[in-house]
Amino acid sequence: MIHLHSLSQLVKWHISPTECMDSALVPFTRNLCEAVTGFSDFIFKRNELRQYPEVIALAFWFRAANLKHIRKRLTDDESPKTIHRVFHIAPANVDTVFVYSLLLSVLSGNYNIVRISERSGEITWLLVDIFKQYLNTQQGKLLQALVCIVEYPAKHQTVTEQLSNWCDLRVVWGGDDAIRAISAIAPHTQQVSFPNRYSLAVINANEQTDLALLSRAFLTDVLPFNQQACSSPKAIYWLNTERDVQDRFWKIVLSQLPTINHNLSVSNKVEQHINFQYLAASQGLKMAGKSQSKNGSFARVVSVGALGHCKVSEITPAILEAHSGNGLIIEQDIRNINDIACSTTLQTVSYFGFDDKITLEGVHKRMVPLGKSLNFDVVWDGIDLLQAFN
Amino acid sequence: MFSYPPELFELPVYGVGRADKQAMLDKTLSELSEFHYAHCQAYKNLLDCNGFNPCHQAADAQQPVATKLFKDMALASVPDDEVFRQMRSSGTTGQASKIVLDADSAKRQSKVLVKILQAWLGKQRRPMLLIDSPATVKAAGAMTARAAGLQGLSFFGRDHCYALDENMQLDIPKVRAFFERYSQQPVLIFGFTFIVWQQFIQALKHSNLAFNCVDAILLHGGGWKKMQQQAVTDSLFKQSIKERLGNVSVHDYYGMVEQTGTIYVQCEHGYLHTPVWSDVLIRRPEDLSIADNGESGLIQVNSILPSSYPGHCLLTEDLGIIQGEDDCKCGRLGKYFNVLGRVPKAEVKGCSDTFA
Repeated sequence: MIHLHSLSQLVKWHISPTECMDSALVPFTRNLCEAVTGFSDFIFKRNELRQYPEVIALAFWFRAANLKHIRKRLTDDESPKTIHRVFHIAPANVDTVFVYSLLLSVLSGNYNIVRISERSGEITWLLVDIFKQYLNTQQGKLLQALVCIVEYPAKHQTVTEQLSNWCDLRVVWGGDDAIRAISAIAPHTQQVSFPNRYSLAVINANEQTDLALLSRAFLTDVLPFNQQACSSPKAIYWLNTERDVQDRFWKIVLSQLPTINHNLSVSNKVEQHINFQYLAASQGLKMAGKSQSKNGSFARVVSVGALGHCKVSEITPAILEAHSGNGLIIEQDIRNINDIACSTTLQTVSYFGFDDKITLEGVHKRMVPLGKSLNFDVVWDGIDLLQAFN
Repeated sequence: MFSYPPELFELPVYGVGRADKQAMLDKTLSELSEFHYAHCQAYKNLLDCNGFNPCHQAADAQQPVATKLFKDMALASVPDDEVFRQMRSSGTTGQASKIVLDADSAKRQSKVLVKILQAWLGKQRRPMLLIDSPATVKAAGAMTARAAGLQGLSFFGRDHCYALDENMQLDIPKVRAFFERYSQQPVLIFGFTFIVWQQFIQALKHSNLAFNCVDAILLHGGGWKKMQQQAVTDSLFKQSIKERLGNVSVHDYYGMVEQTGTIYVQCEHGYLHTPVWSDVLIRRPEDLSIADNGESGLIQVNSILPSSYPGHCLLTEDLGIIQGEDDCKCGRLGKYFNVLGRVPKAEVKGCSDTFA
């Protein structure tokens, strides 16, 4: 571990490496599980954290019952463990994701170093703080040897190279440019990466639909991380849904928005207009049902509180790939579920208003009920993390 | 090629009242929209998005194009072989805007800039102190807005003197010689607001230097972002200038590389004025509807100059307030307004820039 300390001039260790990061560990031992669920309890006990739904969701995910459930997946897996040291490169856009990655790897019995960006959001720093405190508790002590958190600028490629040489597996949480840059450093390193993805929602509503419930589920998926998580829906496909039901939906969204915490501000509003123009100018996005008319106005986004929406005639994968989040919802009316813009970069399809689980012919990674888009999953973006960490 | 009636450029800069000016802008801007629609595919896409027909529309109904589009895309209404010059914004953050000019546009921009500035500086060229380094304009590559500004403004002075050395530090002997020679006659001083403040005024203060000009004009622009960070107000700025340099009439200006030529100069009452060839609209950020006078919102700048790229109606990310039209106490006609600064930026945290 000495060579990691030698990096100290270039990096800032939030949680430093210890001398005992060597002995082999067994996955999902009782000790490991207790240390992780202890982290979850530690969060639940602190009332001041209730204002951060992302943090509470994280704690909930690592509760004892869910760990039992996760562990069940592992019983058939007899393959010997090949991974012992994991280097996680956390994204700056989704504050909590690095903790899922880190703790799943801890449970898998690995030593971990997490690189965080100096441009990370408020919640990342909060989580780093919680970790520091937890590691000093009786229950958290076990994790001291397993968890390191380091911050350094991406330009210090030699640091990335040394940490890559240290690890058995490198986990890179997008986007495409970052993955390209990192893959070129110590290129022999075994790696899993999570490139740019887009996600969308498909809604089937009618006069009987509970629109308040629908609106709440929708906002749960759209508002966190300013709609910039890869699994945040960028579009709504209205499947056989009348126009006046859609109008009532947006009215209810408007009335619910002030009751929900979010970080969308005027600059995001301006970004909605700019991004919309960019999609029109570069991708040929067209508003639905419009023809040349002398009295029509130039195209603009319809504002609903902090959000903006716009009905278009056809959504393409390229449009959603160029969508920048910020609370802009592109909508399209469809008659058939297979009219959705599927592609290899489509990640999550969230659905509402279907009796059974729906099936979609086109390529996509994941299907979840609306309101659960941002819920973490052991299989993420088609990659089974427990297998990857084994 | 888009053709302008030649008499258009003979209009008095601040002497055309609302009715006549708006009629001229409505007509010229809608013709420009038609022209760009026919010559720029991306602009056509933008209008076709809602089947919008720009013919015979009022100026405030025309599609405003977000300035950021010039950073993300190449928007041109002239073929590549007619491009005479490419301008780049000096933006220190993120990508730069790329603006293409054909020979006629470049000439027209200069001509209009001359008309506007002569309305403030008079026709007589004054000895000129440039608050920058001579190295700035010598830098190779596409022209930055700062270099273009220095070069463009040089035309309005004579006996030019750069006040800063190659390292952007105050060149005391040169500055002292300039004022010893010219302080008793009319002079012109030009520079970018923050550079004037940080590298010139602060350096003079630090060296305990002051001069006594009898008739100087300071023209400065480039934005207040860094000034606001240091809590420097317009009045503190003006007061510090006068403490160091004597009788100086200080004029801020607002302008952007996307509409070079039609700049907005601050009058003695502290308001920026629209010249006859351009106009300012304020739009509400929520739905881009037109705000009332006195209400702050996003600044849209309209200019009849851009014919080689679809930049005649631009939606900026700056906030401003229109204070009135045709009735400023200074007597100039046209709208007068204030700029409040950029829309406060939320953190940039896109998926694509994780590892930065």
